[in-house]
Order: sequence, then structure tokens, then C-alpha cells
Amino acid sequence: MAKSSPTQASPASPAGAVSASAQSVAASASNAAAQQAFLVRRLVTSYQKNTPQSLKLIDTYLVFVMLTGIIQFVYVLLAGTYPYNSFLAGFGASVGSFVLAANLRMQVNPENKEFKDTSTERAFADFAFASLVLFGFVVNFLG
Amino acid sequence: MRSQILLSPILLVLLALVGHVYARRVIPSFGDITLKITGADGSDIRSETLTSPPRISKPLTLGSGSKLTLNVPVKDDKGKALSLQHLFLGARNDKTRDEKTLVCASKGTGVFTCELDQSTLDKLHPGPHTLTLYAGSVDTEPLAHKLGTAEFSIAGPSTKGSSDWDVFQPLPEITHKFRPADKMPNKILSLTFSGLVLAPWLLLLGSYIVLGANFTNLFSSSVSFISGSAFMGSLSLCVLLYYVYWVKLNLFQLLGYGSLLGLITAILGRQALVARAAMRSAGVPRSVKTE
Repeated sequence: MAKSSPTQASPASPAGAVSASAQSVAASASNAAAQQAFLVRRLVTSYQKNTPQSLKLIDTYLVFVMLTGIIQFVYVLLAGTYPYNSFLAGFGASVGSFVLAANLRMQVNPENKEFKDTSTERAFADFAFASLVLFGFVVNFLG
Repeated sequence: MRSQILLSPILLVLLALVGHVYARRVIPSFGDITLKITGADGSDIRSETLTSPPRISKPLTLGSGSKLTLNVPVKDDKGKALSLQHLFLGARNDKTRDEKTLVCASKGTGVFTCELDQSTLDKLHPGPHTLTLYAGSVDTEPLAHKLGTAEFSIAGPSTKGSSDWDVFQPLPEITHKFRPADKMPNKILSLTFSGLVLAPWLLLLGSYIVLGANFTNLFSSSVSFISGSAFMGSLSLCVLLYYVYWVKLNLFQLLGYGSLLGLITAILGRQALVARAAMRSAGVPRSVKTE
């Protein structure tokens, strides 16, 4: 809670009351922003410190796939849907790859107890096989 | 023996009846036919009497609006007036060989009236026609008697039907309408986004370099190197097969080659991952936590 300034007008007068409340709102807003910035910094630091390299590599791949999907979608919004099947193939490849990579990340994450019986090699084999099937359908739909 | 005795009178009666019927069939004939042609205004164009056997000496000429009237007396072989069930006047086009028949009305006492007016002329084609009288009844012999020729100077039947049910007329030609071509996007926009969509690759490769991705584990043992390299090579071949399918092959070829390549990839992949799992079990670090 910010301390009131010595030069502030007395709260008894209406003008003084308005400026006091405005200052308190501004102070709380800047406080919230500072808290958010702090939380983000803490998240980033914790991510960089505690996340294994393999998961970071998969996360990078996820960001890459997401960006390609977003760029394709923006293009369709600007240029139109022709040819529509090509857009569906490309966007489907991005979405499908994202899903498969996210599943791989869940299975590879040592913190995830649900998949403790699944080896990383098995998870990667599933990911590779499913990706091949996905890209088979994508290429078939390209036109 | 008794049945033969009973049958013989029945047969005789039947024979007598049949014989009676055939014996009583009358042979009809036409008496003197009165012919009259009137014009559209009702004026008398031609009138004559065709003496038996009735024949039109000079060909008739009928134009649009004309009316032909024939009074046909029918007689039996004894010259008495004969009542018939039907008498028809047939007009056969000598060119098209199409014949239209007209029912002649009976006035009673064996006299029939055949009227060929505009309503019948509308159904005929122009040109020379042969007029024939057809007489028929149950108890008379059939009779077809050619009267003569008539020239119809008419426009011919209209192509449009006389009723709403006549729909046999040419309809407007159907021309195929091709689907309008799709609107092509701006070339500069397409090229720009082609470059933009490839830009995340730079981000990916750069991030991998920053994160320290490497192939050191591939070279940790000969088994790992051989099986890992072969597995990655087979995955590359799969991608190449997809490209060739997109450009050249059909689905059946893709399935054929793909099943073979998929089997090789599966075997090599298993070998590579088994080697990797063995390395992991032996204590080779799987990943390095970055500070």
C-alpha cells in the first residue's frame, strides 16, 4: 500500500478525496503490473533452470509448429481459401504435429508419473510412426 | 354309342347356326354419292353426283377453310338401304403414306354423311391424297372403295400441340456453364508468406544450436552409429517417397513402396532405439540440464 504524499490535499475536501482515490488506483495498477512481471520472470527462470534439455528441444519444436500454423492461417485470412485443400493439408500438418509433439513431451517428462512405465524410446517410436502416418495423409491431401 | 347319338344333333345345330351366319352376310355397296365442296365463306365451289360405282372423275382441290361433304347411301346386294355400324372416310397422303380417318355420321336409313372440314384439314399435310370409303359391320362383308384423289392446298399441321398436354416441341438449347475460375491471390502476398512460413525454421535451428542439441550419442558406439544412421536414412527415404508420390506416383504405388520401406524403417528403428535404451541403461546421460 503506497504512502500518501505530504503535499496531498486533506481528504476532507472533495477535490482531495478524488485525487487520493485516483492515486490509490494508479498505485494498485502499477503494483499488479509489477507482480505480473515478477511472476513471468520467475516462470522463465524456473523453466530455464528446472526443465531438461530434451523437453526444451520439444518445446522449441512446438513453438516452431505453432508459428507455421499461425502464419498459414493469417495467409488464408488475407488471400482467401483457394486452393482450400492445400490449406487444409498444411494447417492439418501443423496441428497434427503439435498434438503428436505434445504427447511426446508428456510421455518423456520425468515429472509425469502417469507414463512412468513408458520408456522414452517407446514414446519416440510412437511419435515417429504417428508422424509418418500423419504426413502420409497430408501429402495425399495436398493436391 | 349313346354319346355319339347325342352329339350328332348338337353338331348339326351348330353347323346350321354358323352356316346361317355366313350365309346371311350381306355384301354392301354404295349408291350415288352426292359430293359438295364449299368455300370458307360458304359459297358453293363444286357440286356433283358420283354415280355408282362412285369415282371422282376430276381430282378435288381443297384449300384452307374449305369443306367437303359427301352423302353416301349404302345398299345391300338387293338394292335396299343397309344400316351399317361404321363408315369411315380415309385420306391417305400419297407422299408421306400417312392416313387419317374420319368417322361418317349416320343419318339413319342407310345414308351416311362425311364432312371434311377445317378441323380435320388442320391435322393433314398438304399434297395429293387418296380418298377411300371403308364400310364395316358384324353382319356384312367389309368394303373398301377408292373414291379418287384430292389435293389439299393447306399450311399443314402446326408444330405446337393443340392442348397443354402436347409438349413435343424443341426446347431451348442447354449450354454448359463452366464454374467461374477461382480468384487467385496476389502474387507478392503469396511470395511474402512463402518466405514467412519458412522463417520459423531459422528459429528452430537457431534454438537447437543455443540449447546445445548435438549428435554425440550417435557416435558413442559402432552399433549406435550404424543403426542410428540407417534409421535416420530410412526416415529421410520415407520423406522422399512422399515427395515422389506427390509429384509422380499413384496411391497404390505409394502403398506398395511404402509398406516395404516402412518395414525396413521399423526394423532399423527398433535396432537404433534398442541401442539407445542400452546406452541409457548403462548410464550414458540422456539430457543435460542447462543452468
